Amino acid sequence: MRKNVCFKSAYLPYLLVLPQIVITLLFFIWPALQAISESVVIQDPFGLYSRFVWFHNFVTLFTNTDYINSLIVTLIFSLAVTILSLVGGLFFAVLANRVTRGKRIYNALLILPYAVAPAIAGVLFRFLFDPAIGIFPYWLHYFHYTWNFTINSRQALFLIVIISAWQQVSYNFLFYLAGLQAIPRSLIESAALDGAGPFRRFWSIIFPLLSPTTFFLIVINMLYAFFDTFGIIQIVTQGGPANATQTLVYKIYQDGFMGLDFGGSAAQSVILMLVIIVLTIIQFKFFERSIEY
Amino acid sequence: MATIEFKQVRKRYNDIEVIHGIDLAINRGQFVVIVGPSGCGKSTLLRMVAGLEEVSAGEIIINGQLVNDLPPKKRDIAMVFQNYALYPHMSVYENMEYGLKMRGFDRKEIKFRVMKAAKILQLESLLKRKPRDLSGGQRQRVAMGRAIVREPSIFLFDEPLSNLDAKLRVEMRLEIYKLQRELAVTSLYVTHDQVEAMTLADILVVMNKGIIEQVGKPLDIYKRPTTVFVAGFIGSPAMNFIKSTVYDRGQTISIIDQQLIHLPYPLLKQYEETEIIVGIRPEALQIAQSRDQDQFKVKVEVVEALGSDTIVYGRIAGSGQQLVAKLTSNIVTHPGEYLALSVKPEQLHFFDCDTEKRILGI
Repeated sequence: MRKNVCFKSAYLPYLLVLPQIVITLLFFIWPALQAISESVVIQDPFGLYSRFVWFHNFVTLFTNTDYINSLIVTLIFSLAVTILSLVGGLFFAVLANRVTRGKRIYNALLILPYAVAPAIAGVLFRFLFDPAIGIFPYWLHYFHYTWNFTINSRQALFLIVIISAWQQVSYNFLFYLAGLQAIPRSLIESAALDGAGPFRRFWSIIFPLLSPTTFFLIVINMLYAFFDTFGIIQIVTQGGPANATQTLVYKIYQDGFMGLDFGGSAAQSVILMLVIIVLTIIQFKFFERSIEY
Repeated sequence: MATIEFKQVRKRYNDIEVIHGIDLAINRGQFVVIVGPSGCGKSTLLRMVAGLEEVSAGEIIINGQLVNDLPPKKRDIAMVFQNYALYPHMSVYENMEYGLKMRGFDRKEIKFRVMKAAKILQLESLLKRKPRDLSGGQRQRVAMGRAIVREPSIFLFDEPLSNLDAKLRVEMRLEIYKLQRELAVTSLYVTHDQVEAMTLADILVVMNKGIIEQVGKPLDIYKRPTTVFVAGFIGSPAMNFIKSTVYDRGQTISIIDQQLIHLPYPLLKQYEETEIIVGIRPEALQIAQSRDQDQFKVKVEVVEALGSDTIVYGRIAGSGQQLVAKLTSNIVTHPGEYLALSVKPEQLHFFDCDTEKRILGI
């Protein structure tokens, strides 16, 4: 039974929600409206002159091969990051769930990458993979593999995928570990008595029971790959070489702040906003469908 | 159907021993109930049979085969868990077929067996439902169904009824009883509920603090408990224990001062002038019929009129020792009143004060 709270004063409830509303309006709604209004105009870099052009900015985008390229890069990048970090998180969670001694140490170490700022992570990996002074290229040299992410576009994309996934593994690990711990032991024992080996148990019992967690994490990881990887890209590749690592967010930044094409940049923002809205709706719709033990 | 044998089975967690050498033999088709207070090691013992816990020392032998190191799936055992452990993402049908699928039965055989079990347990109309859409009793049935489709040689039950409400518990108890008799599968059933224990068991095993206190037929245990613990644990309300002294060459017990109980012959010769524990079942106490009968006075404190009987809680006048009596319902009494209670000498139980064991030969 849930009872509605009653306030004596008529103003108090409004006062209490006011900070949240102000923050939302100021930092979310206003910029969003600004983006929408700017996406339908063309203006000069100094904002002195602007012209209303309807959906011209959007039409230009989808005829621009650079934008299509950025779209494909983002898709590949976000899928790769999501899959890699989910698999990694699940793998470590399953292992950590078996540990009985020193559990806290393992968990703390596995969560550590999440505490590293993206820019710092970027610098870290940049050094490790630097073609001239990095340790990995040095090792790869022994296998006669030439590593230079500054000129090889596949290697560049691979590198930012690795860094982004590395950061996100911790997050996924936490959720999977919590998910695993929520599965009653007796279910696993029952499956063992039913004759299922560890591998079958995992795929037929544990993994399906983690599906709400997996689904939630897929959405969260997609959003992460879309938005929160800006710092890594900025530090490591700046979208290069030859736009090979130019994701949608990075392109918005480059077009808007480097290229000073505000209209085009705003149009891209609007499209990206739609993507988030869709992802969020999907997440809310499916997240209600949780499993009861 | 199988036999199970325990030989000096021990269980240690790190350095703490929780089961101290269990010896027990279970025959084919027997329904054995292990009863004991929580923490007595009964569930651990069951889990060792299932292979879910390692055996620290001793041997568990199923059908003549040592199973200590055999993984659970090779023991041909089905277990019903307290929380049922149904797979929440699978339908009732899928839950029941899982064990058969894992064992590589062909589809036809699986379907035949599942439908047969569903019919026995009246689950036919629920086969497509998920566990979350079932009531407690239905879930319990599915758990049973999952156990019987495999036609295992042993059933293990780990407090299977404790998550049900009282009425359903009685119903399911009957069903489990009938089912086990019908299938005649060797069963090991763990519970802390003595009514379940008394009604279901062919053989009752009473455990306490990691040892077996007594093994026997339920009524034999009720009639002749071998230790104070068993005497107090089996029977509800619990047996009254009164420290008394033996006089008169073992023919008289003094409950307090003048309140004596005379025995028909000198039963307790060797305990002359010493203290023993006298056990009196609440249901053995009666209102004294005449003044010449041996009796003792009890001051009534609480009266519970249950309709079928009246349970009286009171204290023995003089010693203040607490006492419970289960009297017939036509007795009307109130707190503060005194009752004169008597007991037939042959319904007394005597225990040694030091060993807390039953005084033999009686």
